[in-house]
Amino acid sequence: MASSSIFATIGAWLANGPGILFLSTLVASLVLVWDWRWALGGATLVMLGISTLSAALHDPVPVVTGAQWVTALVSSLLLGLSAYFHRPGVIVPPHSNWLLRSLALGFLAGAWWVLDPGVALPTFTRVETDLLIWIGLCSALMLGLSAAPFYNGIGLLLLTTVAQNIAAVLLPGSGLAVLIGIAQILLALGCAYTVLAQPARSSKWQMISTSKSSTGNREESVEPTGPRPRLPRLFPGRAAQPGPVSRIKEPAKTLNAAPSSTSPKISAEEGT
Amino acid sequence: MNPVEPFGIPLISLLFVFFIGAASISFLLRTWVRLVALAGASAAVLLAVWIWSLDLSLPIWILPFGINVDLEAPLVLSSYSLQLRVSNTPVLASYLLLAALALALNALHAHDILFSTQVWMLLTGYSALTLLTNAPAAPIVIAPVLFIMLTALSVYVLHGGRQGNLNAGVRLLIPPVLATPLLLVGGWWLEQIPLNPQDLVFTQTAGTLIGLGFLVLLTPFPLHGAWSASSKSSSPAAALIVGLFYQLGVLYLAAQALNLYPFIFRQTDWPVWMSALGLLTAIWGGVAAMGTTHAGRLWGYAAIHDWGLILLAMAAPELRSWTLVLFLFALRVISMITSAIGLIALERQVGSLEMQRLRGVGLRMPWSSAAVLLGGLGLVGFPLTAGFAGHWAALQSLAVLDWRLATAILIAAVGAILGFVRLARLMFGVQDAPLTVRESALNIGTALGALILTLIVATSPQLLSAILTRILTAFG
Repeated sequence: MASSSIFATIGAWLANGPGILFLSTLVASLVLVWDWRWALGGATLVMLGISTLSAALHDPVPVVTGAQWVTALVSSLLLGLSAYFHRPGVIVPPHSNWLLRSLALGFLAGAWWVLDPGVALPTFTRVETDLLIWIGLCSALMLGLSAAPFYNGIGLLLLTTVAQNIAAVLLPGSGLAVLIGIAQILLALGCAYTVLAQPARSSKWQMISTSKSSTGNREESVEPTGPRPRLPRLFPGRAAQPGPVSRIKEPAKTLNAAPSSTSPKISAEEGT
Repeated sequence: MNPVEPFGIPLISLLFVFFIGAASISFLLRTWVRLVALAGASAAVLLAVWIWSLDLSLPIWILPFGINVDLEAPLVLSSYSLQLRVSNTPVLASYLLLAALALALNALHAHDILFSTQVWMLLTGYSALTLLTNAPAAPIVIAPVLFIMLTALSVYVLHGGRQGNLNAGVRLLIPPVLATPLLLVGGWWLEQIPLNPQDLVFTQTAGTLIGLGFLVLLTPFPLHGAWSASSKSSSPAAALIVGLFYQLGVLYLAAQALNLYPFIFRQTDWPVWMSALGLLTAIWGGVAAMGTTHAGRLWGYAAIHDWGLILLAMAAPELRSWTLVLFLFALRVISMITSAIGLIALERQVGSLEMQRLRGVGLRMPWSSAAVLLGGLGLVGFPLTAGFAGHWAALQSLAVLDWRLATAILIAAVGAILGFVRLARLMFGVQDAPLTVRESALNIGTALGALILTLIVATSPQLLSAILTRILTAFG
């Protein structure tokens, strides 16, 4: 009971308006900031926060909350260690920029606010339900916006935390919360393994040259000499123009390259 | 039905000890890849035949030295009970047979030293899922959590020590993770039904949530992406075993759920959602197969088209038939294995399954190429392939309901067929530089065996009826 009161005491700090708002903002910030350290720390805090909030509001068996804490810490540690030891596995170019992510998040929040599907989980309060659904939506957004195993792992861990919390409250005697905890650790292990198995490449350019050289064909073994291919810009129509020197030289080259015999013909056609 | 105390050693305990022992031995002797895989395949086949022919009406075996074995005694772990029953032994035997086929493929090509261990571990997990008969919550509520664990294990199987982007394994985790909260809340509503059986709100809410959970678990369009991606990035043997194990498990659980809780089908819109998504899955599989440039992905998309038809046969009102579902699934297994045999051989010789790299390979490896084409075309129901009879039967039934749906699926199938025609033109086209690859006698023999099996099933699908009738007892 002593351990229960510890969890409940910590949870009491979060079981109010500012606490819920803090957790909601923290989850949203994982999508917006898109930094692996922030994602790892934030996700761990959210996982611990949700379980303590549940301990304060529903008073589950202390072992269950303890198991939730252990699984949250172990799974975060596993993902964190994989990211620490294999940095190229987490530093990948994001599939979106901050503008798109904030727009997506805003659209999601707006749509939810306007439509208000009125989803209500049994025995959970409305605010708790909203928090769990918000975590689920942000996790789904995270899964949708990235193909990197690290961010997928964070998204999946947050989703399983929601499920674990529901199991602990709705099906308390079933032991499902512990079972989900085991599944969560296995999931984190799988994601950590995939992060470690990511090829150590820093750019698309290196990836292309590596994959081609592995084939062993004659034409593919030639070292690339041209400039690095640029990643697509946010606004392709406003791409930077070439400098003034090239602007003058290029037409001149074109004129020089034109066969001299065509000039009279063109002029004749123009005359007609 | 069973005594409170088992009368001797529960057979199920021996079974799991055998599985774990096989996984451990496979790991310890992993350097002898082919030998371990071959021994494992033989053991799995023998066990499958034995389980299939097990007579549970005589539940006690009296062995010498006073040892008795109780066939039906449950294995209880923390109030989770696993038990062999007449209804689940055919599914267990099917899992063993699939495992044997995967191990045999590893014995042939030795693509990963840990593959045998991983297959045995997956088999242990899926067997537990099948044999779970009693738990503090309904087994179908617990199932998605077990699926998360098993899919997390599948990440390693799909990776198989390969280089490149192998995120497909992680993305396979999304459907079971999404389905878990839905089924948990559905499970809570299920527990409330006995309190007021007359209240339709309980059954409707429980039915909607469980139906949605299974809808997600069945990975229709747009949740199918990881399957096609894994067909490209992973070894065909790994993609084959992970996919078939998962799909057999989900189909079995969906059958359990629909039989136990018929209100899912009667009081909710689940059949309409599932049919619509099944149709979209079949159409998308065909359309996407048309434009792909990777033979593995083409195989994956053809399998998605086939899976869409299975979903449609499972859910569509007036068409719903477990016999048809099982028939389509059995034909799917045969077609996928035939293709996988060819794809593995091609990948090992050429080094990649990119279509451009396969140019002219059909002239050097005709039997493996034919296995790829015939197996792949079987997945879209091309005439004279294994899948034709099933697809034809499903399309005929569908056309009676609505000819437009049947036409849409047929057009999608034509799209996938065009993809295979493109692959065939590349494989049997003339290559500028002579290829050095060659087909070994073992590859020829295996591909030939698979092709003969495909042709036998294509011409005499009734041969499967006895097996399907037995498996149907598990699906109700």
